[in-house]
This record gives sequence, structure tokens and C-alpha cells, in this order.
Amino acid sequence: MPEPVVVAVTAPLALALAASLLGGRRGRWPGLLAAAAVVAAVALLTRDVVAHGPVRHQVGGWGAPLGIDLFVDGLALLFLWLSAGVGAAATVYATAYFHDDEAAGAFWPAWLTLWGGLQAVFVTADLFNAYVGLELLGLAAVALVALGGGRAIGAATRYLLVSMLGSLLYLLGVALLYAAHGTLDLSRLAAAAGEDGLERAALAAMLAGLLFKTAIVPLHAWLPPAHADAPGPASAVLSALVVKATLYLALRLWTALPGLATAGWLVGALGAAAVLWGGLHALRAPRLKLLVAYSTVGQLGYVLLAFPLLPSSAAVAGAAYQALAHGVAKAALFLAASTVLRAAGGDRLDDLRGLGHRLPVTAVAFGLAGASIVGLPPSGGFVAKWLLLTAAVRAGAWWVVLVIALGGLLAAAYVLRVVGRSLAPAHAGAPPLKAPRRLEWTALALALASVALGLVAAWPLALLEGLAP
Amino acid sequence: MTLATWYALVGALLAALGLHGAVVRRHLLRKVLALNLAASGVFLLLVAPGARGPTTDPVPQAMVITGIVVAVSASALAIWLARRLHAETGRAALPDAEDDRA
Amino acid sequence: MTLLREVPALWLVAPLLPLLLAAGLIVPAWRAALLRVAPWAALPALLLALVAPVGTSGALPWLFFGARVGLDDVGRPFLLLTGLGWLAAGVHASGYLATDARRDVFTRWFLVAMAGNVGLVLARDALTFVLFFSLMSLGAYGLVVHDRRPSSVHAGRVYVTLVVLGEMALYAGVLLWVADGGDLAFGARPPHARFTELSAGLLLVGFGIKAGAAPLHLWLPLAHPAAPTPASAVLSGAMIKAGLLGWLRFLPLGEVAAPGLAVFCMVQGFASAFLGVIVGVTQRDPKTLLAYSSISQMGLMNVGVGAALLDPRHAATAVAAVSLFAVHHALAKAALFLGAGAVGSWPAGRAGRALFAVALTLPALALAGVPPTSGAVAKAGLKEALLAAGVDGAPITLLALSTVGTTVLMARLLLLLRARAAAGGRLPASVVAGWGAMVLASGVGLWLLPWPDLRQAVLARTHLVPGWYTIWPVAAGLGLVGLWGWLVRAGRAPAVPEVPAGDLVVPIERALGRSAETWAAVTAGAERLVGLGRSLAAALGARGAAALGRLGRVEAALLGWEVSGGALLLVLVALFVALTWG
Repeated sequence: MPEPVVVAVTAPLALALAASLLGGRRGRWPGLLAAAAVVAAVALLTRDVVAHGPVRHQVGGWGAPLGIDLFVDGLALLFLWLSAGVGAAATVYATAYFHDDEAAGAFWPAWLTLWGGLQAVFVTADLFNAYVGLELLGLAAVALVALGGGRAIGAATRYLLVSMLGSLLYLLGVALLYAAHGTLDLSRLAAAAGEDGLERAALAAMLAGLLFKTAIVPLHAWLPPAHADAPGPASAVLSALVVKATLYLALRLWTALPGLATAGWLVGALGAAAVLWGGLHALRAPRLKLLVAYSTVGQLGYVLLAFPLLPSSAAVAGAAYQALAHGVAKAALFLAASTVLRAAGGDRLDDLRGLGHRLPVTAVAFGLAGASIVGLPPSGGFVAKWLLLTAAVRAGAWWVVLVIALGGLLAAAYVLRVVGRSLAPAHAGAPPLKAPRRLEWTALALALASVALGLVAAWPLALLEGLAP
Repeated sequence: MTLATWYALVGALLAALGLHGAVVRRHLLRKVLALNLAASGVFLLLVAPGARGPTTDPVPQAMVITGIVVAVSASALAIWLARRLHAETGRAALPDAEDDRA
Repeated sequence: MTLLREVPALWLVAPLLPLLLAAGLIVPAWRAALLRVAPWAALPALLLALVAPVGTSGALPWLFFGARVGLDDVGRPFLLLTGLGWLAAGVHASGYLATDARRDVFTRWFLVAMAGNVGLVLARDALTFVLFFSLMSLGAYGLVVHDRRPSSVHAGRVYVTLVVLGEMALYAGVLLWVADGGDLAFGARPPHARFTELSAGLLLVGFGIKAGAAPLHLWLPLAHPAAPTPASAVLSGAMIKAGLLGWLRFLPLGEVAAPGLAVFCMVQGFASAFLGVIVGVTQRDPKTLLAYSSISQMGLMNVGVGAALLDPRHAATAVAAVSLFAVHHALAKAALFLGAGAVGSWPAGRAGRALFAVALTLPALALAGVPPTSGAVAKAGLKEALLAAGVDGAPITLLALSTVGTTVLMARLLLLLRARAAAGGRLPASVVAGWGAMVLASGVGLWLLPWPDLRQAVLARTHLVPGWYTIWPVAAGLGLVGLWGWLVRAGRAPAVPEVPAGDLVVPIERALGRSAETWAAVTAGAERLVGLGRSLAAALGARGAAALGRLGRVEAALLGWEVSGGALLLVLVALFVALTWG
């Protein structure tokens, strides 16, 4: 029986090949199969990790440094579950979203490749393999954005260039790090890390590259057009998952290498800027999907706010939980927004009046997920912000508390922009809207999950606390 | 100056040149070429320590081969996108701002 | 009861049953059946209060961060008043709103607020407490605005404003509380736990809004009467006590002596107590008067909280006294609200009228503290607690004076109710049942408390034969009422030999007229302030839009490659610098 950790990575990749061979809308069958395989593999992996502690696996028995080593602990599992859950929902959504063979034929292989790359980043034990995973998912993500056509082509091109530039910086850092220590295995690096100027330069380059690819203010301008103009399910996985891959690597580096602590305040300050900047721009976005995309810019900032508070366990938990809760809620928001866009033929905010009556399930999904983004109790977003606030208060970092509070107010304001309009009476003569049930209910399922993440926070947190290295 | 240092210096110079070009050049093809140049510089930096000792470290070589494959695929995708953009807008450069925000 | 220990999730039945019923009411097909079950939704809570052994609690490690629920000495009286109050109100509502077209909507909010209220009483950790507290606040909004009259909508708006402010203070205060103490669970604060003034202040404000502590009470006289009668009864009876319970849970009672905080609580409490009486007595609407009376009585309970803060050794006595007072007030106030809603159905027969009059008067006597009602017990307990904490002199006198005030207030209430008494349709049986249960409970309930130890404690401190201390304030209050009536008669129309029995209403109403003018001036001023704020917001909004426009230009510039390339270089260099010299 194959190792679940290997299946979690290779199943989507192999089925991507199958989808491209089948072509057209038939690609949905390998897609659904991949979703089932990934969820099952992650579930089995969870069982193994819970029973025996972190899993380390040498693919093909080759072993580092030439072979590929995989490593899964609590932190990795949290991100794997995020990827499995949101990915499965996006897959189901996509089966009902694409009408024509051409778009579907391009979507399925690209999405499954992306998924494989994503899983590879989450399970990697080594910084170079992380680079390969990042490139794999980056190129596939660009292809997904380009599927939007028209305006999206420009956004995709910009995204690709940013992605290449960011990856190169990361690779530069990897090269310097290898020159300094002769290894790229995270656990060995942690042991070898010292006061080396070369190592400092390497880490600075890697972090800069990762921050660029994570769209942290002021390096974020590429994200809103790319995420907003991509087709529906693609927007969801881009905003919920793809930016988390680089964030995950940054978090991994930070927890593994104590030398990074001195840059904590800088990364935290960038995070604070992101929270405020993203929130303000979400307030002025004229289109729904653009608003949701700017909300991503702001919400990613929250994760960085935890960096100056590391390595406190509450800060690790807060960062990871924010990534998780935001991912689920954001996917729900993007799926709901895309349903509106498709049903109404446009997503200008002023056309959303009466949405509550015209597409009730979607409006409810948007409201619930929005509550989690704002951080209203008892949602997952609330738990994440609560953990971050606890860590900040304990560390006496009052500016972090202030930023989280301001960010919450901004988020409440931009979510209310949408919810308020959907509760308002519709314009006279506004046509009733119709959307396939599968689109509406997938978004609702994710929105409910984003609330449930708060109700049962103890489970994921136990996974994280008991098993983090 | 050892051979390793020489390789590293040239690699760093190439990377810097390439990154500079990727930022300031407007034409997409030039941007892609500049990024490839930067990639070559990074690859040189990767293999440079290998020139230090009598035996060659195979790990950087393996990485560089992988990196070249990645760079080729990315370039191909970039060129395809540049052609699409040219076909749609008549220009092979990115617009500086989204003009359809409002 | 070992079942409760082995399956801690059973505790959750009490808050979850109303919540599930509320959810089920969304489905039209289930509505009729669920509406028949809904009145009884508080039954599990009441049963737990009566039979669950004190000191049991269960861990629900899967809920939130790992929740704890259970029952302790402090929680039991609150669970009793919550369960009883909601059950009676639920039964009452099933008849009272039987013809209401939006009964299902009302029931849904009612159940949501009930779930929150029951859940917070059972909570044994900070986060579970505030989450259920928020749920209750949310549900209460639906109750306040239920009839959609402009006054109710206005009350709802004031309520929401204060609730949002309160919740913000609350979460901030609880966050600090947890960060200082290091543990979420109640009663598990390590000795090194700090208790900061900031945290205490935030908690006082957050819970004070719900408890109607002056000057945070503004919403209460608007919102409590705006809701339909059974909802008013739970708002002023059970839900208002959640704020008090919050203080008992979070303030460092029995841990440290906090004299500053104690004095603050006492001063605030007496201020509330007298403000409630003075403003309340000028009210024309019985429900508004009752709301002011709640403010006054909650003030007295806060005086008890102050006593508990003063001396940690006697904190338990003070907390017991406050809890007892809370039970007494919850029952009496609910009975009075339900009675105030029933005066439109004044019966025709003599026996019916007599019964009606008794049912209205009994809880009023209890509230005034006439022996041997529960009120006398509660007030004696409070006095004992103050003495035990070493408080003597002025506070004891003020306590007695507050009883004078309450007596006047209750006399005024009965006169108002009598003036409003009108023949109407027969009361539905469920209304009579709910009201009657509350009246009985408020009259004799405290003597029937099912816990011998608590009853003993009460009896040991209370002289069954009413002492001078319990009698003179009531007598003085009644004397004042009589004096007032005599003055009116003398000053207004001394030549008229026959003065209607309700003449006391006239001068009070004249005073009310004056106060109404004042009130109108105040509200006009407030409106002007609001208008000013609004135009300020509009100006800021225009500025804000312009500022956002400028933001857009910066954002567009960031899209340029030179700018973002420069930013990238900057971040890179800054990271390197921070890593090297940070």
C-alpha cells in the first residue's frame, strides 16, 4: 500500500495527466477522483501522525540530499487539511461552473497540477523541493488566471512575471544558503544555523521572494487583478490556498531558524500595513470580486502580525489558524461572489441590491463567511484573532492589538457594504436570479465550515500544539 | 582569487543585471530574457561552491538541471501570454494601471 | 446524576434545545409542531437547577478552545431564576402572542436569547461565557424590535449601539483577564494572576450595560417596555442578571481586596438605586416605571458586589446575598411585568377582581421588601453582608432609604395599574399560568428553595419577626405617599370634599409634565448632538471618499514595475539590515 503522504502529492499530478488526456469537461472525473484521493490520503496521514508523531518519509528510499524527503507534522497537517477541504469544494464547484469544453479542458489539468504542487510544498522537508513545488503551482496558477480571458490576460502576465521574480529571489537565497551550510534540509539547517553573513543575505533574499509571492504590502499590487479576474473556482483556490504556500514556507523558516527573530518587527510592520491598506482598498473597490481580493491582501497581513511574537506557541497557533480560517472563509466568499457574477452577468456592488431575496443561499453563505473574515464570534476568524490578541497582550505588543482592532473595524465596514446592499430592497424590475444549486450549496458548505472552525477550534489546535516541533 | 569566488562574482553580477532588466524593461520579451539571465546567474552561484574541492558536489548540479527545466517552462508560458496580450491589445507590454477599476 | 459526570455533553441540552428549536422554526412545515414545544424549552435548564448537584462540571474538549460547563454555588441560583423566568415567560407568550402574525419570528428570537442566557449561566470558562452572552444580546434585539413600532425601532437602535460598545469592552476585558490569568477556566486562576484596573474597568462597562448600571442604563427604560410583555419579563427578570453574573464571575471576589473598586461599585450602586426611583416615579407607563425600578434594584445588587470586593474573607457571604437578591428580584419583576400586561383584561366578577388585585400587589410588596416576602429576606441578607464586610453607617442608612424609595415607586405603580385597569377579553389559560407561577414564586419562592444549606444560611441571618429596620422604611414610604396625597388635596382644591381615590396621580402627573418638558429639552439637545455628529460624519465621509481616491492613485503607482521593483529592493535591503543588525 502506497504511503498516504506520497499519494497526497502524486494523485493530483497523475490525475492532471489523465484530465489532459481525456480533455474537455470529461476532466471533471479525474478531478473528483483526485479530490477523493487527497481527502482520504490526508485523513490517513492524520491518523498516522496522531498515532506515531511527525512522519518522515524518503521517497523511493533514496534519502537526502539527492532523494526527496517528505516531512509532516501538526503544522503541515493543518495546511494539508486546508488544501484538501477547500480543494475538494472548489472541485465540486467547478464541475458545475464550466459550460464549454475549451475552458474546462484547460481548467482541470491546470487545477490538478496546482493542487499537486501545493501539497508538495506543504509536505516538503527541504527548501529546494519547496522551490520546485512553488514553481509547479505558480505556473499552473498563472494558467488558471489566464482562463479568465480578456482583462485577465494582462493580470496573468503580470502574475507570471512576479512569480518568476519572486522565485528567483527565493532560489538565490537557497543557493547562498547551500553555499553557507552545504544542506537544505530544514531540520539540519536549524542545527547548523549561526551568525553567518552569507546566511543572513540568503534569508533576506528568500524572505523577500516569499513576501513578494504572498502579496504583502507594498508588494501586493499584482494580486487583486489576478484574483478578481480569474474564473470562479480558480479565484477561490488562488486566494485561499496559493498565497498560503509561500506564507507556510515563511512560517516554517521562522520556526526552524531562530536567527530570523530580529526581523520580526519588520515583517510585523509590513503585516500591519497590509491589514490597513487591504482593508481601505476593499472599502473603495467597485466590484465584488475585487473587494474580496483586497480583503485577501488585508487578511494575509494578520498572519505576518504574528511574526514579531514568535516563537510563542499562541503566536504560532494564531498565525496557522488565521491562515486556515481565512482560507476557508475566503474560498466561500469567492465562490459566492462568482456565483453572483455568473447569475447576474456582473458583480458591480451597486447591482447587488436585493441579493438576499434573489439568491438567498448565496447571500447567506456570503454573510456567514464574511462574519468569519470580520472575526465575529464564534467563527474561525474569531478564534484566530483571539489567539493573536492573546499572544500580543502577553508580549505587551499593544500596537499589534491596535492594528487587529482597526483591521476588524475595516473588515466589518467592507463586509457590511455587501451585506447591507443584499438586504436592501431590489431595484424595481430587477430580474430574478438563477444559479445551479451545486454552485450555491458548495459556497454555503464552506461558509458553514468557516463558522464551525470556531466552534470546534480545540481539535485543530490540539493537532498543532501536541505535534509542532 | 579562486575559481569559486570568480564564478560566484560573475553569477551575482548576472543575477543583478537580470533582475534590473526585469524591472526596468517594458517589452515583455525583454523582461523574459532578463529573467532568464538572472536565472543563469543564480545557477552559476549554485554551482560555484562545487569548484572549491577536488570532488564535485552533485547536489547543486541536480538543482541547476531542475532549475533549467523550470525556467524553460516558465519562459514558454510567458511568451504564450505575451502573444495573447499582443493579439488582444496590440502591445507587448503591460498596462501600467488597470484602467477599468471604476 | 452520575450520568451528567460521565456524559458532560448532557449539560449542553439546556442551551442547545432552544437553539435547535429556533433553527427548526425556519422550516415552514415544522413550524406548527415546534411552536407547541417552544414554551417548554427552558424546562431542561430548570431541571438542572433543581436536581444537578452543585460542584459538578464537565469538560467539553471539542468545543471552542475546550469548554467547561457545570454548576457551582454561584451558578445555581442564577440557573434557577433563569430557568423559572424563561419557562413562565415562554408559557405566557404562547397565549399572549397566540394571534400575533409574526409569532414564529418572535419565538425564534426568544429561543435564541434563551439559549444564550442558559448557556452563559452554565459556562465554567471565560470564552464560553462571553460567547453565550453575545448570543443572548443578539436574540434580545429581535425581542425589542418585535412589534416594529417607531418607538420600538428607536429603542432597538439605542440598544444595538450600546450592545456593540458593550461587547467590544467585554471582549477586550476578557482578553486581558485571560492574558493576565493565563487560564480560561473560572476558579482556576493561578496565584500569580494579575488583576489590572484596565481589565476591571472594561468588564464593569461591558457587563454594566446589560445590568443597567447608571449611567449605562440609557437603553433599558426604552427597550424593556418596548418588547412584548413576556419578553419584557425576561429582559428585566432573567437577562439583566447576566450582567450581574458576569461581574461575579470575572471580578476578583474572594481573591484580593480591591477597596478602590469596591467603593466605586457601592457609589455607582447607590447612584443607580436612587436615580431609578427618582426618575421612575415620574413615569406614566407602568412598564417604563418597572424598567426604572430594575435599574434601581440592580444598583442595590452592585452595592453587594462592592461589599464582596472589600473583604475577600467575607466575599462568599456577600455573593450569596447578592445571588439571593437576584433570584428575588428576577421573580418579582417578572411577575410585575406580566401583571402590567394583564390589566387590560380586568375581570368583571368581585372574586376575580380580588384575585387580580392580590396578584398585582403581592410582587409589589415583595419588591418593596415587606415582611415576610422574599424581598424582606433579600434586603436583610444584603444588610448582613454589608455589616460582615465591615461597612456600617451611611451605606446602611442609604440601603434603608432606598427601601423608602422602592415603596413609593411600587405605590405609584399600583395606582397607575389601577388607573389603567379596563375590562377586556378573558386571559388565555397559558397567560394566567405563566403569570400565576411567577406571582407565587415571587411571594413564597425563596422559602421553598430546594437547598437546605442555602435556606439555613438565609434563615440564620434573618429575623422572621420583622425587625424595626425592615419595617420603618416601608412605613416611611407609605407615609410619604399619604403626605403627598394630602398636600395635593390641600393645595389644589381644599373646598372639594370628595377627592377620587386616585388623586395622587394628579400631582405626580403635573411633576411628570414638568419632567416631560425637561426630558423633551434633553432629547432635543441629544437630537441636535446626533445631527451634528451626522453632518460631521458626512463631512468626514466626503473627505474620506477623497482620501480613498488618493489611495487609489498610490495603488495604481504600486502597479508600475519601477515602483514595485524599488519596493522589492527596499524590502530586501531592510530585511538584510534587520537580520544583521536587528
